[in-house]
Amino acid sequence: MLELLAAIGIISDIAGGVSAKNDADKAAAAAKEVGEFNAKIIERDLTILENQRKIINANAKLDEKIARHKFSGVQGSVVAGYGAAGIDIASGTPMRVLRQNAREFEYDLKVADFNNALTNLQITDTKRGIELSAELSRMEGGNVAAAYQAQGRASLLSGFGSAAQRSYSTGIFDKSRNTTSSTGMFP
Amino acid sequence: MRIPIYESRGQLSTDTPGRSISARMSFRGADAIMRQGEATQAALKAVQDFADMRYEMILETRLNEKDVAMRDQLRDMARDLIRGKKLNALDEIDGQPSEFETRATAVRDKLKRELGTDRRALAKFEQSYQLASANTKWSLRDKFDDIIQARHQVSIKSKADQIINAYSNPTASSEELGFDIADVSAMLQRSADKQLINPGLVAAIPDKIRGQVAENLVTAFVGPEPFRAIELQQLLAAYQNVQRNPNDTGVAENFANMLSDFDKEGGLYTSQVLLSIPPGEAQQIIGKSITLANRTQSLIDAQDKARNKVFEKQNNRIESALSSNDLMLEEDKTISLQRLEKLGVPLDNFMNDATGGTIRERLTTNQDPKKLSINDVRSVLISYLRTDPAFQADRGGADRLENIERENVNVKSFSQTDDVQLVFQIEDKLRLNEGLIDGTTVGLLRSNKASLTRSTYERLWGAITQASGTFENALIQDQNRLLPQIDAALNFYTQERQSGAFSPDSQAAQRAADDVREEFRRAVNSGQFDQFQGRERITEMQSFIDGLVATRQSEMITELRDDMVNELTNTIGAFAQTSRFSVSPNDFNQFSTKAQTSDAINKLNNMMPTTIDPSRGNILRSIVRRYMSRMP
Repeated sequence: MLELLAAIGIISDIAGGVSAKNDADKAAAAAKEVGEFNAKIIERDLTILENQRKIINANAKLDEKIARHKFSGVQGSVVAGYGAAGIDIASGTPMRVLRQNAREFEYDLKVADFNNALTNLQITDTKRGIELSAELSRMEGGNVAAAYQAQGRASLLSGFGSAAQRSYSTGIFDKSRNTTSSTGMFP
Repeated sequence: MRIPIYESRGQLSTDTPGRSISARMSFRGADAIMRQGEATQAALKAVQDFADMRYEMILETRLNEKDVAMRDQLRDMARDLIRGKKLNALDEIDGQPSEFETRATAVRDKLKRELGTDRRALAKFEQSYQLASANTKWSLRDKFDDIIQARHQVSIKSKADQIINAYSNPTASSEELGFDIADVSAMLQRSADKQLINPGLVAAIPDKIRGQVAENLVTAFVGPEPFRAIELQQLLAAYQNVQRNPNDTGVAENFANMLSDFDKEGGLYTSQVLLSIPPGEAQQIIGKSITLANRTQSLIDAQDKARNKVFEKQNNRIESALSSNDLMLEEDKTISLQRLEKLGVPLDNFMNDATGGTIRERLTTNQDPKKLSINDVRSVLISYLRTDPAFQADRGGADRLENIERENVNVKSFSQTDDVQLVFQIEDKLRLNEGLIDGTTVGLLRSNKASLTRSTYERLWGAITQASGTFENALIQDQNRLLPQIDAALNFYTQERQSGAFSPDSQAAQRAADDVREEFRRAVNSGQFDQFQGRERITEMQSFIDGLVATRQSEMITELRDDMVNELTNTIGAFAQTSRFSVSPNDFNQFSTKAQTSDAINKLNNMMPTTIDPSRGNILRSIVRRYMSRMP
């Protein structure tokens, strides 16, 4: 009877450890899956940003074209005005106005390019942040999974350890105990 | 002219198709999986806890059982070793473990195998075993030490007893006693060195031996005679005087003279030993010897008295036989040995004379046991009484014997009245002067009286008259002195009678009569009335009292019988006709003692009609039994 109870204890130790390990493994897999899932959701923002970049760049080019078209219209109006007024545009002030306009316009284009470049940089940074977030998410899932796996292994080891300790304490598998004649204080 | 210019108003959107999704999957799902596993864990834990609990219970019980068994077996083993007195059971011999160790280890190993394999339980058991084993071992050691010490003490006591016995003999010498005591002292010193005895005993035991030897010697020397103890006491005092005055030659000479008087029956050796012990102890020993001497004397007296009592009874039976009709002297009359036995004569008593042999042997030598001569029988029995010490001690015995002998002489040797009267006178003279007349003359007369001739008697008469004449006056004086005592005794009887002690209650009267009679007998037995005429008065008084008592007893018995017959008659009268019969006092007048109860019942049975109801018969028998039980 005593041996049977001891065996039940040992088996319970081992079964508990194995069961905990299995559960931990399952939890780890789920944790990894969560990390990957979250990373993929985060990475979806990269495509959005890339599209935004394309849109912004396309807008910038379109704006430039529109601006150039508008500026040429302004310059034509100036020529037309000066022409209508009988002012020679090939010398003196009209030309100066046109050059001033061209300079202003050039400046506006530069500003627009700069702004567009800044926006692209921002998008690039954001993309990098999102990539890092996705990486972090994967890493977190991995970490959690690893923790679960470690917990499972610890439970397994604990189960085996308890079983070994119980086996040693009860001496259930130590057949030599039945015949040994110890003379010491402790066997 | 103004030229109209179209300006677009559209604004390009910088919005991006699609939005960032902020939803995130939680890790709680993984936790949930872990939680789901916890149910299994909990179930396993419950099973495990239950198994653990049962395991602990069973293990604890088994451990307790084995622990108790181990202690019991160790105790049994210790008891066995003590009983077997195996005093080396704790010692290793030739490098081998001791018997105790071997047996204890065997007990432990067996119980450990039975205990199981649990290391914690085994460790506890081992620890308990070590403690119990150590306790048992030390307890055994104590017991063995006690046994060894007891044996040693027995050895010492045996040696001491041996010396005491050897030197309690008066023929021993004080020098040899000294040597042996020195040996004992050396032996005790060795024992004390080994711590086997208390060092104080080294001096105490020799002193004790010497004291005991002294006590034994003094007791033997003094015996039943206290004066010897007094002599020893005087010697002790003289010795102490010498000790106090060592230079006084007179004192020393006195002591030496006293000591020389002890040079007989071991007295000198006894004195030397007595003087060698402390004076206080010597004084106590002397005191004890005096007490013992007195007790011994009392014991001897008591033994004599008891023995005399037995012989007195037997002598009374012989006297009774001699006075009976069976032994009345008639020519050619004989008697059988069997008849003598029925008369109560102690035939197997040894004769006290020089010839020896029993009365039976003396009577049947060359005689037919069925036809013994009456004369021979009387001669042998009278000779027995005369030489018997108990009879001699009986102060009135000699007188009674004289009477018996007188009857013998009366018939055998003389036929004429005047001759008989002469013999009576001689006998009276002898009786009155017993102890005063020459013993040889009296002895000669008594032993040969049956065969003496008249002329011899006359010659003896003259001699006796001459010898006793000078004592007449002294005898008269003694009579005068003792007569008042006799009168006092008589007065006592009178007072008893007048005080109403003889009441109608016959038993009370019997007691009162017994008291008076006992008082007189005590006075007679003490010898107060020997040799005086007052003795006859006492005899008369005794006869009177005996007669009165007998009368009262007879009246009591008659009353009881009358009552019994009355009750029987009344009871029978109530019976049916078939159970009736008649009884009268005469039918039962021969039953007067308790011992005759069965005879009385038999008589009643014979009187009953055959048709009587058995239960009625039982009633009548119980009545008879009740009354007969009150008889003397």
